[in-house]
Amino acid sequence: MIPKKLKQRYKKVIPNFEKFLSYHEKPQAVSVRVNTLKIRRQDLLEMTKLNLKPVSWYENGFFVEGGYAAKVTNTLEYFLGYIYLQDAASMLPPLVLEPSETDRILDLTAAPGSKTTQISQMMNNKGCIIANDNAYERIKALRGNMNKLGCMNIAVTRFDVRSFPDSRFDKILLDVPCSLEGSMRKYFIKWSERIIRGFASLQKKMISRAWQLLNPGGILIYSTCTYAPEENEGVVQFLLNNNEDAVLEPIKIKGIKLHSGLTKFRDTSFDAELKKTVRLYIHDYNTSGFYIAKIRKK
Amino acid sequence: MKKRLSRKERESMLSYVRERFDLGKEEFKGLAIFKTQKKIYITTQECLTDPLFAKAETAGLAFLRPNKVLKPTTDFLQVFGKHATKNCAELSKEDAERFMRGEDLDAREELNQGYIIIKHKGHILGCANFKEGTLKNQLPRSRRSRTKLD
Repeated sequence: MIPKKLKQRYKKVIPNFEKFLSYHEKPQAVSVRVNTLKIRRQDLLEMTKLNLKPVSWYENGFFVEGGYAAKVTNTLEYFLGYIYLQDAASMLPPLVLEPSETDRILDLTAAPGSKTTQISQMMNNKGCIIANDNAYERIKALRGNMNKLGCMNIAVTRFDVRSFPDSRFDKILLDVPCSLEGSMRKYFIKWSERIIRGFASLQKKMISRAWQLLNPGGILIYSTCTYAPEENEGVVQFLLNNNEDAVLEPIKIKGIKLHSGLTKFRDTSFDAELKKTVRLYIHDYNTSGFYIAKIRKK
Repeated sequence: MKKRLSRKERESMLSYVRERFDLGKEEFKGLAIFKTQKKIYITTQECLTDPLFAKAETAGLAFLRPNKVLKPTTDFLQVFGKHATKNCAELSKEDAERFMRGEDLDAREELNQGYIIIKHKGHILGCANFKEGTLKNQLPRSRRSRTKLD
């Protein structure tokens, strides 16, 4: 059930709004990532009986046709860690990050590790990713996934992002805790504008610390799975206003059409530069909704 | 408390997996090994030498458990076990399903006492401890599954 106030907020913001609303009644597409640390993509495709349809923006991503999660988790390939259940939209931030084996990488809010283990695989299990989270239970899940997927290039830390120890990184992924509007089909969420404001305040503190941890020339990816401009464009605008060395980079990923970030919401205007950030809605590809910004430090 | 291994300790662990499973040193090239009180881990040199390693909760993949005899973890075997040529047992479909459920199995072939790599159609399911004709299941509870094979 979508709260009335939420509908009012986004009626003029989200394109094809009626379709967007109707997708809340539809189950989200089930998707998996082939874990190339354990099996070659082609070998998995030959082995599996799942009906897989490629995710157009990531070669190792597949939608499971006629699928539901339990169908995937009861397969040998899942047991062996050859495939990992991952929302196809959440495969985007690592693609925007473009990790290389020689980068020193920080995933500040890593658990349960979907994006971290994808980065690990994109780095061919080489180099080093520092995967951080502050909750013990969530770290347990992260460790379980790292082990199951065979990731050797991840070191796990447990700090509050706002007090993460001084260090410098080439690339940082900050997939912040958010109001989860884009994941309403997966989770039962408590929604209010007050909650949004609370998250936005926390996110501003987190992005400020992430910025301090970035090397000059480095890249920060900021992402959420919510539509709230206060938590998206508003947080990125806050960073730009307070850091002259922050520059937004355009985001282009082959195989997916993304919406530009907003420049206005209600009475608030954002820089035209914010158009370089991207939005994805649930009715675009039947995934979660997402927001991503790519920021370079001069 | 994480501790780096001395050269001697590293050599003794690598010679254990070489002797037991015929896993050569070349499989571990460029990788680092460290230990905690409960487990021995395998990670990249970059993680081990990272300035934040000392503050990290853990790093890399669980490799061995330092029991009376070193016990290889399921996760380690599923990554490295494909190169093993010694002390492996191939299971039938029915036995593989039972193994994945966490059951112990009667051995259907001559095996050496100790840890055995369990396979089905070449895929590594995990580890069993062979003792007195029985393959004692070593699959962690969290990894057990009621998967039906085709």
